[in-house]
Amino acid sequence: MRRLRRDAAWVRAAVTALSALMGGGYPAEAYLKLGTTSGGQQLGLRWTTLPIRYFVNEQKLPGIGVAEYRAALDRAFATWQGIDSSTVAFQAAGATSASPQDSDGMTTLGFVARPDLDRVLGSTSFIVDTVTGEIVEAGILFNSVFPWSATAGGESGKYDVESIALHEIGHLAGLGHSALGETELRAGGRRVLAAEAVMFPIAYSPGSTAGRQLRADDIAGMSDIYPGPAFRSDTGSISGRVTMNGQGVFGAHVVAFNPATNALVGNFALNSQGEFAIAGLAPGSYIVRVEPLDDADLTAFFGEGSNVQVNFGVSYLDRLAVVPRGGGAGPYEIRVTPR
Amino acid sequence: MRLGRAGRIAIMAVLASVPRAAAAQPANALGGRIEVAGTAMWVNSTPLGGSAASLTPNVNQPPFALFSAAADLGTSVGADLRVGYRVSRALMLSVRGGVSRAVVHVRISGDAEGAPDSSFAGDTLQQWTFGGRADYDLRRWRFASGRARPFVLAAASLLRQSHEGRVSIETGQVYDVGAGLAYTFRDRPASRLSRWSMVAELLVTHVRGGFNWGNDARTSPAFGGGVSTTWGRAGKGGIIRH
Amino acid sequence: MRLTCRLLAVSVVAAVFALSPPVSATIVVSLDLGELVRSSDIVAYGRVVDVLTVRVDGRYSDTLVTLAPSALLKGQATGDIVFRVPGGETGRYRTVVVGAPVLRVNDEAVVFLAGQAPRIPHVVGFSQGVLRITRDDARRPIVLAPPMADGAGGQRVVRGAGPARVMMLSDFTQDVRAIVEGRRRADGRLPAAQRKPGPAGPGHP
Repeated sequence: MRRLRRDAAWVRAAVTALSALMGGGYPAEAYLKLGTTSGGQQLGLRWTTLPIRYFVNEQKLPGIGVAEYRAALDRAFATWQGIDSSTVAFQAAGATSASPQDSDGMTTLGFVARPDLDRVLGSTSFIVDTVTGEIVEAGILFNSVFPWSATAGGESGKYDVESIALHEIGHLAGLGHSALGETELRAGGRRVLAAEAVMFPIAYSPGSTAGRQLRADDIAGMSDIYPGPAFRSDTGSISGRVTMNGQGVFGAHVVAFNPATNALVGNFALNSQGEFAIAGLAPGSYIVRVEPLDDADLTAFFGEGSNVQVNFGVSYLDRLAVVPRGGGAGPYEIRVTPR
Repeated sequence: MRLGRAGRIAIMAVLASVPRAAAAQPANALGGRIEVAGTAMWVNSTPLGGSAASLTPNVNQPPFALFSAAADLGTSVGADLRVGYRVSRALMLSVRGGVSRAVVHVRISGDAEGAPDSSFAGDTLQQWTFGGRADYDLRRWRFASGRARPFVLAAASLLRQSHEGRVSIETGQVYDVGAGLAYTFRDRPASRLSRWSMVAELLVTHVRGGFNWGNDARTSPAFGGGVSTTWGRAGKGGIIRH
Repeated sequence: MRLTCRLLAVSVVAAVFALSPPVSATIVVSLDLGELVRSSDIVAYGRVVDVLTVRVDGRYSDTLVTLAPSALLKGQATGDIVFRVPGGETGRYRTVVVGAPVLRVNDEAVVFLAGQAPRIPHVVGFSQGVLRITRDDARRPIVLAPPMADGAGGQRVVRGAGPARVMMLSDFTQDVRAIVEGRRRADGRLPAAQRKPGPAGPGHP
């Protein structure tokens, strides 16, 4: 056990050192994190100072009351802040008449009529200083061309403010999308059958309030960006490669499932070698499943979607991945076959 | 001289007091109270439960399972060692410890995207138990001139399981009830090794906790066979009649 | 052996981070190919020849993308097509709109645009309305096409029937033209739907 602990500590130190050398600041483990490229340099979108202060524009609310609107936002912020394993924190700084689109140095949430943001319910934007890499400000807009509800129980035919806010606040903190969801293709587009992450990119149907509760995948992702004191020592990871005919599969979606806790956490094979790493996992035995990204638009996850491999079938790791506390399971190779 | 009823009762009372008197004697006068037994154990496979990888459904959608998984703990084979103290003719109390290994078998089914059902040997569990046990001889049912001694037993132990390479530790409790038969091959009360016997026992093992996927309390049959030895010379007035 | 495995795991994690692409996302109502086409005033493919970030109302940044069209699949346009996407870079500051497509000069793409002159059109379905054109091993242009619900409008399709698939650009444009012209096969499928699966894409077996 002592040797195990020493190995785990060495791994953490090595990962941290390597990540620092690469200028990114933190390892890409639990799932996709937001970033941008400027001048050939990759910039991670992460707040270096907490709490994240925000203002709320209470004007032009589309058929919802100010009090219930603020209450919905408060609940959404509190939900993220209530994660025990994360230090993420937010602070309401007051009301403002400024729009979330204004470049004014303030991080603002509000409703804006944006018919040109076609089919977009909510959107998060950042202004980044490309010289320092610092986030100057951010904005979350809720598109008022859609029908909205901020009631405690939701309303039929209307999108739930708290659910969409919870998703956008995840982006505000630096989280990317999760692919933990299943959709069906209907005339006109995809409909969500079910999802197991608030950060799934496609909304539940109007009237649903299912998106108000964080899932294991969301918690792992936020904790990975803003880890609590014991997060890294209390959790572990699974790593490996997804291959097809001996070659790496870029963009494969890899999901770890713990049958003892019913937790589902996912990540992607993020390079041409098909390598993946899923972190923030509670110690235990996991079933690992690989599937193609076929339940949402690929550009919701990858900027260069056309490089993503999707022509393969679902496959499982042929053993249990036993995740130790403070360490890693693997690396494993998961072979998929062409569809 | 024929003893009357009162006289026989008095003699029986004196004889019944012999163990207490013997307990006050030096150790070498206890005679055959310490038993050491080693047993090979076989425990039948046990379902560990199962779970569905469920996603939260959309409005007006049924529950959605990405896939389902179930596991069994395969047949475990191991060894058990106990050291007991015979507190009376019939009753022995022991401290026991055991070690065994078993393979976790996993079955995956019902994949929502049509992947075929599959199964694999998922993991090897190393198991340790430590606890206490009580054996009670059914003296009335002895046979073969008293060499064959049926008994019943009950045990309670702490369970510790580790996955491969001690990567992950699980704990629980194990409770056993059962019956067995000891057949004595050697019975020399005057020797340091006063007796040795072959033992066979059938148990019902009930496990709580430990590694499982929802089946937190599980029961399975077990079988053990081994050797029991009794130590200690008989001292004056200190014989325990077996 | 365990130390070797952990060293490999560390390398994997570090390498994964080094190669993480910029992520784009926001919450959207999803579209299939048919709805993309029907919702568009202009569908074209070509090469990006210019990008220019402008301030809108002095408040926020949008990028005007100029596309030199190789072919117009729907709508009317003369010469280059200019459309706008949210975000952009002005000076040392970059406005990142999570989920907005990011296009650079010399990118090739199929674009689905909505908006009539004199307004500058926008992309339909946010990032869904930009399909990048890449090349397979034989340098043939391919796209990762969004799925299309089979059958008439409103007919439910069993999930899994149509994942996004790599298609030859020529086949994809045939499908788009068929939707534009209201043509379908007798079985309701698009012209290219029953062809054997397209090429695996660049660098893939």
